[in-house]
Parts: sequence; structure tokens; C-alpha cells
Amino acid sequence: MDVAVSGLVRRFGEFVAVNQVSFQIPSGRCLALLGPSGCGKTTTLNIVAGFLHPDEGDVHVNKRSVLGIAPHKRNTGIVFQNYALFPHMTVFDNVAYGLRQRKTPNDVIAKEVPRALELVQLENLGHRFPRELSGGQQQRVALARAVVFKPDILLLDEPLSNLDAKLRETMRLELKSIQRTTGVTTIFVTHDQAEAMVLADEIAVMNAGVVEQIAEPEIIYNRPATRFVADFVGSANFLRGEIVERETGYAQIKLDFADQTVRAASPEIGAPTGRCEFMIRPERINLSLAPTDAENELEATITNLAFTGSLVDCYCAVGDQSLHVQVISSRHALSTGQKIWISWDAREAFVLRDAP
Amino acid sequence: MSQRRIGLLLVLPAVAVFLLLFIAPLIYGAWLSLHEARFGRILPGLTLRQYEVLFTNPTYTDALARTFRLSGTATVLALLLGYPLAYALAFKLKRMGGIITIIILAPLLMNVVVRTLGWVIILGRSGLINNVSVNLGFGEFILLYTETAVLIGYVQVFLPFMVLSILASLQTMDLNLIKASSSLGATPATTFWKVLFPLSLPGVLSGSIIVFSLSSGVFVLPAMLGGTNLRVLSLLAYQQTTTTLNFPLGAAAAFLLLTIVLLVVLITTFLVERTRFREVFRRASA
Ligand SMILES: Nc1ncnc2c1ncn2[C@@H]1O[C@H](COP(=O)(O)OP(=O)(O)OP(=O)(O)O)[C@@H](O)[C@H]1O
Ligand SMILES: [Mg+2]
Repeated sequence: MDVAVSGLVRRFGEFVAVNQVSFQIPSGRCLALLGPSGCGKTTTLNIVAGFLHPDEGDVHVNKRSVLGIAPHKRNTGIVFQNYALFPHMTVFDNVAYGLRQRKTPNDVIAKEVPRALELVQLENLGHRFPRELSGGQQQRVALARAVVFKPDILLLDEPLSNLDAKLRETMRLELKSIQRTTGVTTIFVTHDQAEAMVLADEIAVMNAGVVEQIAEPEIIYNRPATRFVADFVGSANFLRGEIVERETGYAQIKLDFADQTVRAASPEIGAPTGRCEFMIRPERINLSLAPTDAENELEATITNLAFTGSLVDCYCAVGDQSLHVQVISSRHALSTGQKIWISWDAREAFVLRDAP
Repeated sequence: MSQRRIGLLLVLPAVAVFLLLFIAPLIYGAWLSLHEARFGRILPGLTLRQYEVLFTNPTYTDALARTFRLSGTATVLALLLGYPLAYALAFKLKRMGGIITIIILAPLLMNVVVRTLGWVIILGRSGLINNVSVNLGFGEFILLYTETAVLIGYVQVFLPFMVLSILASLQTMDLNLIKASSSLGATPATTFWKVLFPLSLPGVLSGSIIVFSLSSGVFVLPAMLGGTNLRVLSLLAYQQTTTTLNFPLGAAAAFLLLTIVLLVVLITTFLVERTRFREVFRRASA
């Protein structure tokens, strides 16, 4: 089932919680809605599930609008942030619930439910009540309950947010393999960028009700469209300047903070001319103790160093611009106040769509 | 002073009041019910004579049966009327909730005699209902001094307890459970019977217990709406202690009433908690 959402708008009173949200998910693919708290992720999900009616826009499943269809007729599997397991039913009955609503014969239920529980590695806990399970186990029951009846669409609302870091990582991979094996079209809400990167085929980054960018994880990371996306996904240095010349895919930028011109990748269309801002990831900056012939080289002074084990976070200043550079720890004996030369490959710097 | 001693000091007044005003009269009443009295004087020597009267004298056996017939029916009626009301307040009429709650609570703010007198006026021979009925040609239609009249009075007074109790359990319900049920394909009716209603059972149970025990203990209301022929146990106990001055019989009647109510409450709770819904109650008490 492919899902297409177009021009969704949802207001609560004056407040616009979801503003012109559009995306398409090809059948069997997984889209992550990524964004900070309150940006409208759950609201979007509730609209797709049919619990909320949009003020504008439409939701299509297999090219047919589903807005007029009641939630219980939509065949959507949902995992809620708090799992929402029925506390008065056993794990088995929770998982069987969706099948029973579909008038599945008992002998089929007796086969399907254990299979779903096996999928989430809980085959022996069918007789337990939700209260008797750990958070991770409850989450897996919720997942089994949502996939056992072969839904057309799977909606996951921050399903891993209540788990500890270790379990979260395991569940992440488990979720991914379940999504792949069941081949169900999935929308996955999270505010954890690593989660989105691992699980999703595409990520839609949301901010204040608006989708800022939709793209594959690598593109979101390497070619963020806006400052918000660059900042929300990973860490980034933001540098400002004036575009003095453009070539295909690149721009020559005269820096504000140094009397120097550098090159940065720039989207073909919609890139700003004149004033611009570009970003570069800390680990994509090269550091050397002496000047080299590299392009985009700047002389800098180390202002702060933080050893994190395998990596060193090096903060340095070029004029009044401070930069965050990440290097592998054993290579350099660095010290604060030291002069260094930093440079980057023009492909690694990227001009943002929103001009300063 | 240690935290513990401060804690003890703080509960002391309440405990003292409780012992003095509740437990002491209870023990005294139980002791009193095991005596006989003549002309208002308690005779020495223990006896089960009063309980014998209660279980053999038709006046008392009738009153006993009537008491529990009335409170049982009132409980069921309050549940049938109160559940939809609580449901609407919790999910459908959130905006008007304040006003409706005030309307529901209004009967409790009124003096019991005044309120009951209102029903006397409405239900009586020259009352509103009879007048309308006669004028419309339906003939005489007098409800006053029937069990129906008493029931109407009970339901009006005790409905708020039922509604508030069910409302509390509905309002604390996780709405995602309803969404989950619906996303799994359950119709709204199935969602109600499989999820919402079972999870509201603690509220239903406590509301029923409150209505049942309160309605089996009132006597002003049944006296005014039921008249002299429809006496309930609490009214007899009241009359024995204030008019006839047969304190032991009054005490025995009161004690019997208390025992039966307690038994009913305990047995109901026990039975409900043994069903497959026991999980609901564990969660409610956790
Ligand atoms: N029923 C409602 N009435 C009024 N405002 C609402 C309602 N539901 C959501 N909002 C507002 O809409 C905005 C988006 O809410 P939403 O729940 O979609 O956020 P979210 O992205 O899921 O955030 P989180 O990560 O914290 O779950 C929030 O600012 C919220 O306050
Ligand atoms: Mg949310």
C-alpha cells in the first residue's frame, strides 16, 4: 500500500499545529517523521490514522482518499508511545484482539498469535498480563499486536522513547527487521535522529508544523536543506559569507569572518545568491599542524579541547568565528592556544537554502 | 521530634474522633442489642430475643425485605441512568461538563426534608403528575406512598454518587486504549464493551456500593414518600429508639442492617474481583 499525504493543515484554535505537510511513501517503505517536541508529529500521525480530521489536505492510500473512512475500518496498525496495551487482557488476548475483530477462526488465531509473539521473541509470555512485563517486553507486545493482522499501514509513535539506551538499540534493529520481513508501509515518529537514520528509508524533518526536508538519511545528513535540519540532525558549523561566483553545483563564497574565498557545494535550484550561509560537519574538517596546499584552508587557533576517547572535539577560532572540528584522538598532540590549519573538501560544505 | 512522632500526633485527633463517635457507639449498640428493655429501662442479662423479633415478626421481616429490595433496585436504576450520563460527561459533553455537574450535584445541596417535600407535592393526590393525568383523561395516577415514589426519591438523591464515581474512572482512562482498540478494527460498540466498560468497573463497583449502603440507611425519605405502610428497617430502628424507647430492638435492627450491608459489599467485591476482570482492580489499587 503506498501512502500519500498532501497539503495537510490542522489548527487547534488559532494555533497551526500542522502546516502544509506533504509526503509520499512507496509500498513497503518506511518514513520517519523527525522533529523536536511539539512540532506536530503526533498530530500528523493521528490524521493518517483517522483519529483527527485535517482542516485542509488529503490522505491517500493506494491512490484513494481515506479521509471519509472511520479509523476502525482502515486496517492500520499502531504502536503508541505508551504502548496502550489493554491492562485487563493477557498478552495473548492483546495480540489476538485485532484478529478477533476480523472474525478470524479460533484455530487460525491459535496459530497466528504465537507466530507474532515469536517474531518479537516473546513466545513464552502469552499468559502474562501487561503489568507483569518490562517496558521493552510491553513494547514488543504492542508491536506484535499491531502487525499480527497484516495491516496496510504501520504507524509507530516514538515506540522506543521509554526504553533504556541499550534496549533501544536492540529494539531498533528488531523493529527494522520486522518492518522488512512484513513489508508493511510504515510511518515512524521520533525525535531521536539516530533512530530515524537506522530505521527509515526516508526522513521527513519537521519544525513548527512544517516539513523542512524529506530525503534519504544520507542526504539529510550530508545535504541538509535548511539550518534547522543541519542543526537538528547531528552537529554542524554554520559559516556565513557572500556568494561571489557560481559554477555547476558549487559556489565561491567570500567569508564574513576572514579575508578569504572558499568553495562549497550548493544545490542547483533555489540556492541563494548574495548573502549565504553554509554548513560543514565537524568530522568532515581536516586538521593539520602546518599549512598544506589544500583548497579551502584557513588558519585557526585552538580555544578548547575535549577528549571523548576515540575522538577529540577541537574548538578553534578563525577571526571571531568559532568552529567545531572532530578528529581521531591518537593522531595529533594538540593543545589549547596552538595554531592549526583547517581545510575541507568543497563537497563536504553545503550551502543552506535559507539565506541569513 | 522525629518524623514518625509528628505523624502520629497528626493522626491522633482524627483517630480519637473516629473511636469516640463511631467505634464506641457501635460496640455499645451491639452490646445493647443483646438485652431486653421494659419502659425504657435496660434489663440485666444477655439474650437474643431482639433478633428473634426481627426475624419472626412480619413487620420486621417485611421491612427487611423491603429495605434491600428498594436499595437494590435503586442501585440498579442509578447505574442504568448514571453510566450514560457519566459517559457523556467524560467523552461527549466536555464543554458543558461544569454546568451539568452542578445540576447533578444540586440535590445534595438541598435540605433533605425540603427536597422530599417537593416530591410529595409532585407525586401526591393533588400533585402535578396526578393533575396532568386527570386533566388529560388518563384517570387518577397517584404515586405517593408507593415503593415507586420511594425509588424516585432514592435515585434522585443517590444518582450523583454513582455518576461521580463512574466519571472518575472514565476520566482517568488512557484514551490511547480507545484509539488502540479502534485501530485494531473494533467498532465503537465493541470498544465500549471490551475495553471501556471493563476498565470502568472499579468506578461502577464503588458507585454501586455507595448507593446501596447509603440508600439502605436513610429513613426520612422513605418515611415521607412511603408513608406509614411502607416502612424500612432504618425507619423502624429510628422509631424504636426515639418513640417506643425500646433501645435494644432499635439497636438490633440497626446492627442487622449494618451487618447485611457489610456482607453484601464484601461478597460483591469478592465476586467481582474473582472474575477475569481482577486485573482491572489490581491496576486500580496499584
Ligand atoms: N488537542 C489539542 N488541542 C490544542 N493543541 C494541541 C492539541 N493537540 C496538539 N496540540 C498542539 O499541537 C502541537 C503539536 O502537537 P503534537 O502532539 O503533534 O506534537 P509532537 O510533535 O508529537 O510532540 P512530542 O514529540 O512532544 O510528542 C503542540 O504544540 C501541541 O500543544
Ligand atoms: Mg508526539
